[in-house]
Amino acid sequence: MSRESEHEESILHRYFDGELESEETAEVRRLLSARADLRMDLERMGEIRSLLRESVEKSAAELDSDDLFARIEARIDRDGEEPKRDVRPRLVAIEGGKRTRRVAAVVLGAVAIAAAVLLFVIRPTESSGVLDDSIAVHSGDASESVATVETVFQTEVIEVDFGDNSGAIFAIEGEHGERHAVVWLADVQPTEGIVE
Amino acid sequence: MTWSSCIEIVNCARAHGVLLWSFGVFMGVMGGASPVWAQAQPGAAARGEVFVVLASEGEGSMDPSLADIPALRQPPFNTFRSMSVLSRSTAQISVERPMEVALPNGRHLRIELERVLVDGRYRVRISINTPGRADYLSLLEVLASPGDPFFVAGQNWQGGTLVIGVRIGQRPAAR
Repeated sequence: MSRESEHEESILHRYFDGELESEETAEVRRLLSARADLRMDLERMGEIRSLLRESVEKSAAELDSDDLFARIEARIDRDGEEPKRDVRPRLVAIEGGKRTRRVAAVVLGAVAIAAAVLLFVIRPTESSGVLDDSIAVHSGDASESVATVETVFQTEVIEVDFGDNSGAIFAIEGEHGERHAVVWLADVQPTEGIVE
Repeated sequence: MTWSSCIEIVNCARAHGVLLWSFGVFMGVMGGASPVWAQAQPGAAARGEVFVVLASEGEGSMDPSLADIPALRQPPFNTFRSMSVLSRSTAQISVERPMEVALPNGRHLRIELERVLVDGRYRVRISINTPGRADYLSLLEVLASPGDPFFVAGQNWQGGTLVIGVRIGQRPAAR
C-alpha cells in the first residue's frame, strides 16, 4: 500500500468516525466526489457498522441479565466460602476425670429432657379434662363457664366449596382481636323452569 | 489409637444415642400435645346458635338484638342500612347429631360438629342447600372460636340479602 493510499484510508476512517476537522472533512468530500473506489470503501464501512450493531443488539436482547447476575453472585459466594472442613469426627482422648464429668453432663441433660417430656405428657391430660368439662357444660350444666379453656380466638375457614357459585372469604377483626370469618356467595338462582 | 480413645468413642456414641432418643421422644410428645393436630373426642358436643338476618341497603333500622355483634357494622356489612333478625335458633349439636335450620328462602342450613380441638375451637361443616339438591353452598369447613360468630351471606331474599350468623359454643367468661 502506497503512502498516499495509507493516508486516504486513514482519513476516510476518521471521516467515517466523525473525527475530522472542517478543512479535512471538506478534503474528504472532494475526494469522495471524484473517486468511486473511496465511495465504495465508505459504503463498506457503513455496512460493517450496521452488521456489528445488529449483532450486538441481538446478543443484548437474548442476554438474560437476571440469570447472568445470579450466576455471577453464586460464583462470588462460592469463591468466598471457606474451604470445606474435614467432616470426619475428631477423636480426642480425654482424661478419666473429665470423661466422668462429660458423661454426668450428658446424663443430667437427658434427665432434664425427660422432665420436660413428663411435663408435656401431663399437660394434655389436664387439657382433656377441661375439654370434657366444657362438653359437660354445653350439655346443660347450670354452671356455664369454660374460662379455664386456653382458647385461640381466631375463627378460620379451612375449606369452602363454592360449587357453581362464585364467592369470597373475608375476615373481620373484632374488638378483642378476634377474627370473624365471612363467606359471601353470589346467589345464582336455578334456571330450571325458565321458559325462553 | 489408644485403648482410652476407644472407650471414649463408645461412651460418646452412647451419650449421643441417649440425647437423640430423648430428643425424639420430646418432639413426639410435643407433636401430640399440639392443639393443631389434636384428635377428635368421641361424644363431643356444643351449643349451636343460628341467627338469620335480612339486611338491606334501603333506609331502615338496625335490630337492637344485633347490637352485641359489632362485626355486622364492619365491612362488608357496613353498606347495609337496615338489618332485621328473621329467626334465631339454638340446639345442642354433637358429632352424631347435626343441626338443621330452615331458611326463609326454602333452603336448609346444616351444621355438623366434627370435633373439638384442644385449644377449645370447634371444627364444623356447614352446608346450605335446597333439600335434595346442592344448589348453593356444598361445603364450608370452619374452625370456630367458641362464642364468636361467623357468617355466611349473599342469598337474595325479598329485596335484601340474607346474612346468616353461626355461633358455636360459648365465649369464655375471662374475655
